Amino acid sequence: MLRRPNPWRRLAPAALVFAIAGAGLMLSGCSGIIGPHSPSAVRIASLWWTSFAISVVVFIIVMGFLAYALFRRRGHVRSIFENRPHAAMVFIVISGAVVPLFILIGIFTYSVKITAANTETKPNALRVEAIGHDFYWEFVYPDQGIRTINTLHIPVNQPIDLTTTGADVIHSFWVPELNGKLDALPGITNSMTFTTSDVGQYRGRCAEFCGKGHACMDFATVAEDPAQFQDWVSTIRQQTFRLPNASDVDYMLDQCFNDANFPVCMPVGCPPGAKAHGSVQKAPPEGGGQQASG
Amino acid sequence: MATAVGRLRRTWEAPSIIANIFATVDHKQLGIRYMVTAAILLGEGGLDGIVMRTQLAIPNSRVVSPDHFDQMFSLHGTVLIFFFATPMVVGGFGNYLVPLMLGTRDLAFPRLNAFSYWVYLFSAAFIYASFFVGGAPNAGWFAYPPLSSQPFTPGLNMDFWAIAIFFLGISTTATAMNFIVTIFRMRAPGMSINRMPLFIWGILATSFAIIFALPPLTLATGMLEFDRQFGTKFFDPNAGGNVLLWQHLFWIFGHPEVYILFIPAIGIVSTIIPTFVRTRVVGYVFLVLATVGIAFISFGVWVHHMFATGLDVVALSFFGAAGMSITIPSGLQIFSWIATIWKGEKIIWSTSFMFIVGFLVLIVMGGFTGVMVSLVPLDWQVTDSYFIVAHLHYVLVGGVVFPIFGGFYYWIPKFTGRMMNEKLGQLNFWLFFIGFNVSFFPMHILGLLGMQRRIFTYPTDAGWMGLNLTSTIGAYIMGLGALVFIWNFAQSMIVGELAGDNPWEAGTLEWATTSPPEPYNFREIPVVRSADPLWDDPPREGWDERLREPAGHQRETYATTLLEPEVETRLVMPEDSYTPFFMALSLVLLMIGILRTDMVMIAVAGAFGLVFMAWWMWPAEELA
Repeated sequence: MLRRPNPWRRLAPAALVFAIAGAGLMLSGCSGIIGPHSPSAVRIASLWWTSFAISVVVFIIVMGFLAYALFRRRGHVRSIFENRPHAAMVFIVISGAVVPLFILIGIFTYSVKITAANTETKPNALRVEAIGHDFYWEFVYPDQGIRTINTLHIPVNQPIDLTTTGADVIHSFWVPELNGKLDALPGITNSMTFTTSDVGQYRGRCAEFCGKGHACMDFATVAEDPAQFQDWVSTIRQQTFRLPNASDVDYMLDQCFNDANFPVCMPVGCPPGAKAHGSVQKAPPEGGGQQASG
Repeated sequence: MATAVGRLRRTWEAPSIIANIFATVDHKQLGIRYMVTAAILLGEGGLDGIVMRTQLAIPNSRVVSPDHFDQMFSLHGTVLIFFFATPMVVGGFGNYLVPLMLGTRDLAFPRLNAFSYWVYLFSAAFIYASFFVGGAPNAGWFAYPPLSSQPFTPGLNMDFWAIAIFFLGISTTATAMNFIVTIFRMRAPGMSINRMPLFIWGILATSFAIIFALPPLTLATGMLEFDRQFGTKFFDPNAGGNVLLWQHLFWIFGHPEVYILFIPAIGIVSTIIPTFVRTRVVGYVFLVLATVGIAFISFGVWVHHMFATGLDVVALSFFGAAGMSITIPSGLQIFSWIATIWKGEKIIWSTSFMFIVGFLVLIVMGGFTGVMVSLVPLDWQVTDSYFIVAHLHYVLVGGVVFPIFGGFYYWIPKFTGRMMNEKLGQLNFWLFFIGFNVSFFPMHILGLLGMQRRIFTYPTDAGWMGLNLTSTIGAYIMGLGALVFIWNFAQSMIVGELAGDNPWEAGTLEWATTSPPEPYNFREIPVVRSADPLWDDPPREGWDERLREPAGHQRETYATTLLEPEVETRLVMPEDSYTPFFMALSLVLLMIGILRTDMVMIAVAGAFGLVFMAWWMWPAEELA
């Protein structure tokens, strides 16, 4: 049979290079898991990129085998497995079990190292308690004696020792740029440690479905210089704190469900990107509350 | 001869239309009902998915209300996992094909089988009845307490959920026991365990998994219902209960559950591939060991759904490694299939085979993301994000729904006696395959960008719109693919080419009989001499004279011995019976009684149940 040149054969590598470059461009400067801003998140992102690279290579190899098996020349050409039952067994065991085993041992070891590094506790940590409520986050700074709603300020270059718990149902604390998730479970206190050296604002969110307001549980995470952090602490200290009451939550949910511009503010705290609260018409029933955002 | 066949048919047919509807115990009829019911629920669950994708297409969208969105994703997961996938592969394909592939005339317990179907149908109807009483379940398909407990979900929604799941478990467990006994004791003479079709191995492994996996779920839903209705505090942290207890119980069931769906699906794959590449399967032993091995390992990995719950990191790493180890049997499987295709003498590109090739591509991708989520720190990031949504759809749609479509195109000629249209089939495949990837591949990236699961909308400045819109377009393309399937099936029923006994020239026993098979399946019980009996030993008049149709006017088949089946005894099979239907109805009364915490109703339902059970168990005259 005459073999015609296949244009795809020459185009495919170029297309692949373009696709990877394009994806790389798209993803650079991203937020989320692949835009890490703390050593912990950087380690996890590198684990992601490593396992992604291995997956791409292995995928191409496996699909190559599949494509060859499907499209190999047949007719007079016999497969290498014809009359050689052991060849097939060796092929299956090596490519299906032995090679994967070595890859898995490697990536597993790497991930255990990262697990250990990310769970290492550090001295001089700033203690913060994150309490998930329906449907807002309360942050307690026991050493500073302050509390905030939906606003987490942290100083850069100081380890943060963050504990989570749930006030009512299960929530999950997640700032993907800074670290993985930690569930906030009622009746249980969990803890994690992370440090960031990058000043910036990150959108925190609730990652465990907690009821109708789950999507509205964003919070602001502000990483700032220690001096600014101290200023912020003293500002907060002077304000009176109160927990949102039922009508505050209802007001927020009403905004979240009906206002076209999500996210929205709690009467007592704003997530980043939200319209600052304060319009007279939309004032909550009881008004007041503190503006905790920086 | 003609009179003998006529007598055989009269013996096995239902006596009237009414009896046929409510009293049939024919595994083929019940199998078809399972498939039709499950397919309708797949359509409903799929529509939920399309509506959710429409809502998420652009940020700040308000196509459906947040409350409806919550109900939709809860129903989408619950219905597709519990009421579509398991009943489709185990109840539908299993019921129809197991006796045919084994060369026998029905399952070991035909009335129990009918009972399983009715309980399944009524549980599904029950969960949808919640629509008329204040809304569907809305706490997600894994219903974590305390969200799913009374104070936070005060309506009846979650009661409907817990009760329906509880009773569905009875149906699934009964089916599993039925399969185990049938496979152990009713294989055709000569079908030793090394000649069992791989689909049968899949059903056998999955049946054992069901028997061990369902009790924790039954326990958990029972405890949840006690918490909700009768004031216990199993999951109430304020009264010393533990919210993680539910997660352990649910996932000890839930992880094996995904393999309960997957294992029969890979059985379908192992059955279809050899037919279309015209060669015996390569690595039969590996495929069997992998099937059994996956079922076994699946019980040791449940904690990988709970990596972010703050459990000890050493335990997490152990469960991560356990989850990873599933790669080894899966790898053996994938390469056994590739070797089979490689060895194949020619490739017949039927639609059925294309769906299986699609499966191979998607399951490899889903497998990679599966390994990624078993890496503890990476899972801390991606769990409960859209990365998981992508992963689970690659393994469940790619790994289960694609083989189901492949199975439909393969066996519908056997079910209906008519071929499906291949051109429409190819269109169906490409729409579905492309639509699937367009819809679910971007979700990986959305997850990496930090989009969390189960949110009804997202802010504009999150920058997630392009990928979400792409995903929505993909969902519509998939929907089109499903419509083409429905159209193909409809036209096949009316004008489809007649199939004949064995249109694909396949090797397993279900193709040895007519399409569709007569109520008695086989006029003579075949004797098996190889793993592909129709290839090595094609059917002929009087496969074995010893086993000719029994003389009596009662339903009979043979019980055989376990490892190397030989005829042990004649089995007298039960006639059609209304008792399974009424028995299931008394369970419905029980379900409503529990829902209303009405003790009188519960007692009445129990009494009815005992009466029907006595009727069911009453010895037949000959035995009395």
